[in-house]
Amino acid sequence: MKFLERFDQINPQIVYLLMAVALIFPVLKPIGLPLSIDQQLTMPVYQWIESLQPGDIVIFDAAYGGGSDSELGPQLKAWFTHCMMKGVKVVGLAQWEAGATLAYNSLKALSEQLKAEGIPCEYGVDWVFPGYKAGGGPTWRSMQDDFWAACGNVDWEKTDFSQLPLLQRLKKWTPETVKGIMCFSAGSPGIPTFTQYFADHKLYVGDVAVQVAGTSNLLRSGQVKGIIPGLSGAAQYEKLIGRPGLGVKLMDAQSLGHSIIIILVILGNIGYRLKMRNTQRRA
Amino acid sequence: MSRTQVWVAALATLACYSYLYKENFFFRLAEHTMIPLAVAHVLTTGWHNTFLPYIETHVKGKGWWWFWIFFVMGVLYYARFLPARWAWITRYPISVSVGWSLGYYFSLFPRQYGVQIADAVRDLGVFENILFFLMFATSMMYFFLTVGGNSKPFRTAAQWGRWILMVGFGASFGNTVSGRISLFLGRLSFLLTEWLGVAL
Repeated sequence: MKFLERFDQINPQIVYLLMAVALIFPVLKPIGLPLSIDQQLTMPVYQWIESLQPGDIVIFDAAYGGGSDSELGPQLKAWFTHCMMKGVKVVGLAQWEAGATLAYNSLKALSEQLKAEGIPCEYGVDWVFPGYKAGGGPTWRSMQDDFWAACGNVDWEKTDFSQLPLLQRLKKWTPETVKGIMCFSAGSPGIPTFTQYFADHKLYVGDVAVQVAGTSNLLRSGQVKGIIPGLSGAAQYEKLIGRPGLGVKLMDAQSLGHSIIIILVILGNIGYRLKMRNTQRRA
Repeated sequence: MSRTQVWVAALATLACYSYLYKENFFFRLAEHTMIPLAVAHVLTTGWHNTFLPYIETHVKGKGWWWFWIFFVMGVLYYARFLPARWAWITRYPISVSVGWSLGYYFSLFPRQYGVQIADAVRDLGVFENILFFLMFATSMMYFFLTVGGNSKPFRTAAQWGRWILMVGFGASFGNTVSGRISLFLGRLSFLLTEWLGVAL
C-alpha cells in the first residue's frame, strides 16, 4: 500500500521521461493501432467534397498561426488533396496573417507534388490564394458583394485577379458561386465570422482539438455541417482519401501518450485516496 | 528552410524543452530571444500585410482619404505616454473604439447564439433531445444565484448541473491534452525529418 501511496507524488521529471519515450518510440517504430473514422465529425466533411462536381468552387480560410500548424497543417493538406483529386476548385483566404503564409507555403509545395503524380493542380486554374486581407469582418462581408474589390484585385503574391482564370467565375461570394466554406480555425477571428455573415452558406470546420468541444454546439445546431477534429481528424481524413500521411504516422504516438496520462491519473488518484484514508485513520 | 535556419530552429526547440529538466541558461536565452523576435515579426507583417495594402486598396484605389482620420486616432492611443497634462487625449480613441465594438458585437452576436438556444428546445419528442434539454437546463440552473432560493428540487437540479458541467470540462481537458500532444508531435516530426533527416 505504501508503494501505491507514492503515486500521489511522482517526480515530474519521471513523468516527462515516460511521455517522451511513449511519444518518440511509436514515431520511429509504428505499432499500427487501428484508426476508426468518426461518422459524426469527420465523415460529413469527406462526403461534402465527394458530393461536389468537378469545377465547383469551394473557399477555405486559414485562421491559424504557427502554434496550430502541427494540427491544422495536415488537415489542410489532406482536404486540399481530396479537392484536387475530385477536380474541385479551391480559393484560399486567411483571417490570420500567419495562417496565410503557412497555408500558402504548404500548398505551393503540395501542389508541385500532386502535379508530379499527375493530379491537376495548376495555380490560377485549379486553385488560387488571395490570402490575408486586412479589415476584419467588414472586409469579409464585402467579399459577398464584390469579391475582387474587397481583395484589392490582387492575390497573395500581388498577381492581378484578371490574370487568374479561376477567379473570372468568382465576382461575388454567394451560395450559388461557392459550394461551401472550409474554415481551419485555431481561435478568433475564425468561425464566428462565418456564423455571423455567411449563415446561409454551408460551413465545415477544421478545428484544433482544444476547440472541438465548443464547436460541437454549432454542429448540433446545424450552423456547422462537419468538423475535422485535430490531428486525429487529419489522420482519419488521410485514411478516407486513401493517402496515409503524417497524421496517420503520428496517431500511434497520440494513442500511447493518452494511455500513459490515463494510467498516471488513475494511479495518482489511487495514491491520493489511500493517503487520505490513512491520514483519517491516524487521526 | 535553409540548413542554417533548420539548425537554429532545432537548437531553439531543444533549448525550450530543456526547461523540463530544470531552469537553465539555454532556456532563458531562447525565451528572451523569442519575445523580441515575436514583436518584430508582428510589426513587420502588420506593416506589409495590413498598413500598406490598406493604403493601396482603399486610400489610393478607392480614394477613401478619410482613412487618415482613423490613423490619427490610432496614433492618439500613444498619448497615454505623454505627461499627465496631455494624457487625457487617449480617452477619445478609446471611447470611439469601445463604442463601435459594442455596437458591432451587440448587433451581430445574438444571431449565432439565438440559433443555438432555439436548437436546445427543438423536437422534444426524441429521447436524445430531451436529455440534451435537461442537461442544458440543469447546467444553466447552476448559475442561477438569485432565483430558486433554498428549495430542495432547485438545489438538486443545480447539483446535477454541476456534474454535467464537470463532465463537459473533462471532455474539454481531454481534447486539450490531445492538442498539446499534437504540438509536441509537430516539433518532434520537424526534429526527426528536417533536422536529423530520418524518414518517417
